[in-house]
Amino acid sequence: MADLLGASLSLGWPVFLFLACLLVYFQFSMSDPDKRRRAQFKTFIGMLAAAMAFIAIANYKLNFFGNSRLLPVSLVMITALAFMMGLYFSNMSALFKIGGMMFLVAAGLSGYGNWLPQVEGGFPPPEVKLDFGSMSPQQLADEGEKIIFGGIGQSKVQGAIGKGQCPLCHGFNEGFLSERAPNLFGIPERAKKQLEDPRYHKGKPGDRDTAQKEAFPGAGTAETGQEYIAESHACPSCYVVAGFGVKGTNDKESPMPAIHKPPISLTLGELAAVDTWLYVREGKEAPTFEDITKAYEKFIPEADRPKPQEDKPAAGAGGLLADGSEPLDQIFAKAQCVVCHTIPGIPGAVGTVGPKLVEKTNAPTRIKDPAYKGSAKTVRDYITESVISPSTYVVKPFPDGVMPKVFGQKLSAGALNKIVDYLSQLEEGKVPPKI
Amino acid sequence: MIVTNPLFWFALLVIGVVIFAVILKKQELLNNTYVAVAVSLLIAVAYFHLVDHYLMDMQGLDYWYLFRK
Amino acid sequence: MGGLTRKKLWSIVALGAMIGLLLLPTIMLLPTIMSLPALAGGGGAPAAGGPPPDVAKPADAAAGKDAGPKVEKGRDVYYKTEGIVTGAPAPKTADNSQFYPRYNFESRVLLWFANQQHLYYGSFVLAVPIFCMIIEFMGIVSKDRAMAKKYDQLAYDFIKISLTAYSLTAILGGILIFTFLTLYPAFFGYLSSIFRPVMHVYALMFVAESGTIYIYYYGWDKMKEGLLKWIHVSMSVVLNVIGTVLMMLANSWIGFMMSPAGVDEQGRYLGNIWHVIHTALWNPLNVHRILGNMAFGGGVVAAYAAYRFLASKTDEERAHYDWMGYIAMAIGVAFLIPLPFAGYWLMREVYAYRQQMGITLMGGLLAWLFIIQATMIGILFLSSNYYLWQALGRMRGAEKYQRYIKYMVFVLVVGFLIFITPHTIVMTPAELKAMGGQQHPVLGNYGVMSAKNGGINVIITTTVLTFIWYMRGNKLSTVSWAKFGNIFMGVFFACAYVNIIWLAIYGYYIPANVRVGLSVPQVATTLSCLFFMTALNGVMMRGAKQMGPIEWGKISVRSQYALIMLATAFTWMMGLMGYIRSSVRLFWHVNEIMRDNSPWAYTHTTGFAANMISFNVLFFWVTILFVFWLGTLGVKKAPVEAKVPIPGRAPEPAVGH
Repeated sequence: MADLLGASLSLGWPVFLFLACLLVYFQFSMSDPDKRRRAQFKTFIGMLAAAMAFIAIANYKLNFFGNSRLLPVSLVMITALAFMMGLYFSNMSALFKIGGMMFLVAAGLSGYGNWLPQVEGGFPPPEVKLDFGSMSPQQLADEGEKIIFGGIGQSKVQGAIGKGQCPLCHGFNEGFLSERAPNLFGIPERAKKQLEDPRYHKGKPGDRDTAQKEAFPGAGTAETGQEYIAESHACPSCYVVAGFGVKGTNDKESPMPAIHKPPISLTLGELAAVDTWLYVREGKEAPTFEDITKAYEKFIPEADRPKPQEDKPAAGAGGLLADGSEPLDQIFAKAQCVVCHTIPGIPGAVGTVGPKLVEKTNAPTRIKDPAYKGSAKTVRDYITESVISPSTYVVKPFPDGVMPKVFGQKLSAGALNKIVDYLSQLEEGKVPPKI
Repeated sequence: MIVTNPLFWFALLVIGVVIFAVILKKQELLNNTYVAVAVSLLIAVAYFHLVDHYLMDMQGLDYWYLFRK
Repeated sequence: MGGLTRKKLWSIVALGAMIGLLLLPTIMLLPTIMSLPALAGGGGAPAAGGPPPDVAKPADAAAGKDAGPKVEKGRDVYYKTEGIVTGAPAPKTADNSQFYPRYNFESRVLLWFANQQHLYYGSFVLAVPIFCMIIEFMGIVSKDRAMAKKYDQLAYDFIKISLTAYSLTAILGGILIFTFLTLYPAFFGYLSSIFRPVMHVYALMFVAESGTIYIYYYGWDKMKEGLLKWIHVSMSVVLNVIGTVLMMLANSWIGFMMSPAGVDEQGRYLGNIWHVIHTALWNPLNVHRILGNMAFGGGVVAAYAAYRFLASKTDEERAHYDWMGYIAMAIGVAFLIPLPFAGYWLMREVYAYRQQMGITLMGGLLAWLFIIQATMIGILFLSSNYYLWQALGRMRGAEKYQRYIKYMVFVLVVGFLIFITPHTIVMTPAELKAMGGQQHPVLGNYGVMSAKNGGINVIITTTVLTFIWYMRGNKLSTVSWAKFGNIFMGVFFACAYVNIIWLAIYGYYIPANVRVGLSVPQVATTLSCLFFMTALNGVMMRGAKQMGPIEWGKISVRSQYALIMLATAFTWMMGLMGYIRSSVRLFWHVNEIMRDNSPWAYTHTTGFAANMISFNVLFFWVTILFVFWLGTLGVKKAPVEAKVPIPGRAPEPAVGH
């Protein structure tokens, strides 16, 4: 308040001074006491109005770029002073009253705009076209860390996750429990050893008993450690580390999606960045960018390689995963639900990291579960709650903390609505509704 | 169902207009409240049904969706 | 007798001058248009005052390439046609003072301000001649001599107001260009390199517009009889044609910025100027803007009349300005009614162009602004209804309608509340949880489209009903079928309400793809009421018994505040919609072609935008009130000379645009 008064004084002192002089002038120049009193009263009203006007302006000046939602108060003040002036300066009264009315309308509309929730569209994503090929290993590794964990230095943060989605299942730090997929600490060394595993059938892909024997017909098997890593990314089911297969398949099938395919769709450059990080963070010398991409080219045919997207604008506000305009199956794919969940009726949704989403069957029993602490009463509420705050109730035997907690921000309400609509109709053992 | 047929409503509209044309000549009928309400209702209801039907039809949609089901 | 001949001679000279001015740009442009491709061949040269050296470099390179035998082809981003690359690519800017010179203030806000003020004045001076044309024509065809004179005087008053505003428009246009050149040189350089011929046509059209408007204004008294009057009124048609073309050319720039065409992916001009002008959103924008300008112009003139009404000392003055306010408001509202439909078309084209853009508008970042807009549409209809109800007070015999007003208020408010209920909006998870889903358990039901459409159609239908009551306020139909007619109108309106509400409810029971179609019969119902009922009312009231004259001037003071509210709200809405249209490009100068890399590429909060819009609105009104006030000063000085042509206070032509 003191700021405001100070600012208004510093802005309006010439006007105040002038009005004060006028007051003095009237005191001495007018002989008729009646007239003098009227003139002085009007000057006083003028001073009052000027004070209000300058406080109002000062409010704008001080808070224009700030987050103050009280700027329209200034307009109300100006309204008040306009009507006050209109009352006492009758020759201009129509002008003042009309002006006052306009300020009032503007104040109302402005106030309404300020009262509504404030959404600010963030800065656009920087327009750096990543040229992975010309980066130093450290730069490449940094990019890799961003892809895996969402930011540089994020690898030490519990629960950090990037577009690669790797930490959903893999552990990365030494000694970390990693139940769904192998802990990737030490992989540069281990990769070479895995090649010698008799189950790997190095050089003889035809002897494999896995669900998929080769990345694509004629691809062959890996010969070097780096090729092993590349093959694991491109064809997870070609070789499954013992104990990490889909339950019931006796390690013949991997729960991991092929990373170069939707929904994750990393480009070869991005994959090279990821792999480089795996080496660099352990202080090992990484193969060159060319070597890594060559390794991937061996397992990913030309047609399957995702194209680097040019200048892709951020998807709408704040980088939504899905905004609700997409067809249902795409929403599930874009939000990457399909990576971990089995969803009847959605092509490709055969994940087993999380529970199968037959919610018309599941939700009622879960809500009745004594361990359920959430607030949902209906199937729809339960699904919504599970999507936006997954830890409220964790289905056994799945562990807590696997599902990202970001879907509340990353899905538009429209997309979430579609998801909930669909899931709430799914019943165990019934044909899923058409999408 | 006959109500889902636009021709039915079109017929009603025509009947309404014809009645109006007939009573136009007969002052006492024209300015009889009950007759006037009845004729107006006939015309207006038939008209709006036609509007609903044809404007949905133009978009390739079925106005009578719920009734046909 | 000699005087009359002289007058005639002068009028013909004036007319000749006007036609000459009109033809001038066309003649001058002919060679330009003919040799466009040739000119465009050298299009690499940066525009005057244009881009900094960095940008000029690729431009020169491109020009150099073109000079060689190799002809580079590019594919149009929108029309998908192949064309010869004749322009420089859009400059890639960076956040530095070379591309974005700046003061210690947000450049974007300065540009916003300059742009908005120019647009307000521009719309006003484009709208007023259309009014003049309509009113002058009404005066000519009116059989009542006194009324004819009144109309003519009104049209003259209108054009008088717009003249001062006209020079202000030109000045503001100059300020806008300077702001562009000094703060966004790279962007403006790129835009003007593409639109160079269009900009020249624009400037010449502006000259023609000025010439015509001055002849039109100063020739008013010389050309008031017989054939000359018809020539005078056709001059207003010419004036409006020029004005509309001017606006459409200006629209092509913003259309290009939103939905570019005629350039390849790098923003290189492909030699077809029509593609650049005729972008995906150009025509919807044109229609929307013409209608919007008209409604806005009506609002400004109505506010002027309200000001004069409140300031007037005599009953005679009050009567005149009451009448003027009424006419202005009626014209404004007449154009307000089709405006939502034009907006619907624009929106549909936006979705067709880029769905993402539509979603950003309606369901994403800018959705709250649309909720403000919905509120404002409601406010506009409420205040026009309120004005008409107040206007019933100046008629004898309108008392019989007044007791129904309270029910209409109820209907309007219910329709309004349903109309503004949002459906889905971006929410934080906490908010989502607190509400138990994306939609409120109860209110959510009103937020869907069929209910909203029902709401707004009920509001418009009620406005139509109010208008019809007003039209028949002091009259008693004398046609023999009057009773039947009244009953028919009542039944028709009742059925219309039932149909609208029924369709709204029906929408809940049928699948979404069928539901979207329901809005069309709903709108058709409203329009049926508007057209059939006004027409029927007109027929019924022909030769009707007057229960008393309309006592112009006997309207409540409150009604004039309603007019001011209407005008202010309309200005505000225009600012709001302009902001939405502009900010939907997010961080692009030219959508998907030229990126905004300035520090102000983010989108402001709703509150900041609202404050800024208020500032623009109030600045406009304060300046235009000042213009109005200047007008009254002149009148006071020479009340007798009001009829003398060529008043000395007319502004100097300011066409340095």
